[in-house]
Amino acid sequence: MKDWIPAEWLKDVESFDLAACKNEATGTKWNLFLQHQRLRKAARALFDAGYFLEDITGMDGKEGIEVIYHFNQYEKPSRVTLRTLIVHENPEIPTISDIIPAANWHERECYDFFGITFTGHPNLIPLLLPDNFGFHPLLKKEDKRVSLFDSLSNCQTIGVKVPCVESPENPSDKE
Amino acid sequence: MNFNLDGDFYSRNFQQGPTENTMILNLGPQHPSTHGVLRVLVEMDGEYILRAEPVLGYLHRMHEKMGESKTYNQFIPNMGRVDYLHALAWNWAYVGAVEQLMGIEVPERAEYVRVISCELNRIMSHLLWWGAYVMDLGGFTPILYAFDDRERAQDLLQRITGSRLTYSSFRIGGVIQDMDDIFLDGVKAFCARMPERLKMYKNLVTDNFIFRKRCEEIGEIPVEMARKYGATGPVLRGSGVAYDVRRAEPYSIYDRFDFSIPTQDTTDAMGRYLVRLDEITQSLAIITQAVDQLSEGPIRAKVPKVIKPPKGETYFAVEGARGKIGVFLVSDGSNVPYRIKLRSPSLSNLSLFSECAKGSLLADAISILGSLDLVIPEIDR
Repeated sequence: MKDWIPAEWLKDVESFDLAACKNEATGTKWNLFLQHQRLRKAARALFDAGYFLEDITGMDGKEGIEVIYHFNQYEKPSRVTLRTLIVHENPEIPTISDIIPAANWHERECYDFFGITFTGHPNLIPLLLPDNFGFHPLLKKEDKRVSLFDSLSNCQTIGVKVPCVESPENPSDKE
Repeated sequence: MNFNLDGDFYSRNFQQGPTENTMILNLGPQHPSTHGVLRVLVEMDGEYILRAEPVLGYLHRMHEKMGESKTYNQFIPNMGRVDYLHALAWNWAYVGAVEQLMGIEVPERAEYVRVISCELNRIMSHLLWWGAYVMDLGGFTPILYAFDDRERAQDLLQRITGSRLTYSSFRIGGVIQDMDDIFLDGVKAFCARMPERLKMYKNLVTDNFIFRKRCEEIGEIPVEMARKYGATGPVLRGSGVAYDVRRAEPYSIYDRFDFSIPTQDTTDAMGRYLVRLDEITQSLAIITQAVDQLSEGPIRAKVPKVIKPPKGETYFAVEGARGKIGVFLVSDGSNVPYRIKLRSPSLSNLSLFSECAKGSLLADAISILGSLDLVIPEIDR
């Protein structure tokens, strides 16, 4: 099997849900749903495994604001997406910019557009919008929000265990 | 009128820290070497840069919000204006995402039209960068030669797209217009002419001793630094990583062409310069092969008048002249996108500037900025 997630870091990360996606339809191989406290660990593990950060973005929905991290690899390209959910009342999430410097600007952009506070960010000031802009343009009105689960209709939720079983002891040998 | 000599929000924010014997300098937003309105705050110790921080947002237009309030077809012209130098790659990223979400098969001839016009556009982008970069470093003449060639390519693209700069000729399921014989003859003549011109470019600029002194061992970006900041495109390939979306995540018909991915191991500005010139040659090779393989057929797939993709999300990436262009598209089943995220390669490439320029001369920082090939509207979106 060509598409695996390295087993050794998946054990640490303990995503509470994992979804495999139809790559032709979604462009993403794996979706990992994480609790906030697991996010930094997952980002570090992906970074150490040779991934680079493509972008960080958000999506406003009924359940809250979903923060989406797209990762990819130079050598064996396959997109891995980390997802976390934050509530509208308290949009706070730990930063990963000290682990991956690329996140610095992407997090500032999310701060502009969604008002998400990345705790621990060294320089959380507006990136693209003026400093006195006053509102967050990509937040939707309450009646316009749809359920975030709708966007995942092309994905199939599988347990955490599955890729762990299938990945070998030394993942770099497996193609 | 009240003048505030403390500076604005960003310069006040930047000034915190030790400032003894150093000088804070505003490079831009109207500096000619920034090719647009990019502002870089630098802290100088004599001629050397201690700290640099780009300030963005002067050309911000909030394309992502516009995408959420327009129908799928109405959003296509926006894509021609995100990156005006390689507009067709952005066109492709967007229509490709919608097609992927809806499962639309694009007719073969339309794919060829897309490849030929997109590669032609890539050559134009690299030509303009080449002229502008040499101009940044003090050589004015080369940009006139580059514009001569660029003008010919523009005349060609004008024939099949109807515009000369902000192309938006791709449609969901195909392209707007077919290629005719006059266009194809013109493309053949262009491809036959360019190798001679590239030789002349090499004699005129690449081998120039003064130019090499401004590029070699300037702005070295090790692979690890490039990965840390998510750099892609010629910036990454100039550091020796053969990563090209056309090969890595093959889309359209790029698997039918025989082309190589140029890389350089020097990791400096010269490496990035050489990669881009080699890419012109590779794009010419792709165009020549595409013209040879051409067959007749329709140029538009049958798609509904009102585009309503099924609920779902998709991420589609293409290789632009500056790197990986990505469109993350979410549909809620209505005729307006629920969320569009545009991944701009220049943003990631510029974010490594602070680290790269640290400790270099101010004049070298200009060379580094130029070698990153920035297009500001694309960074700010």
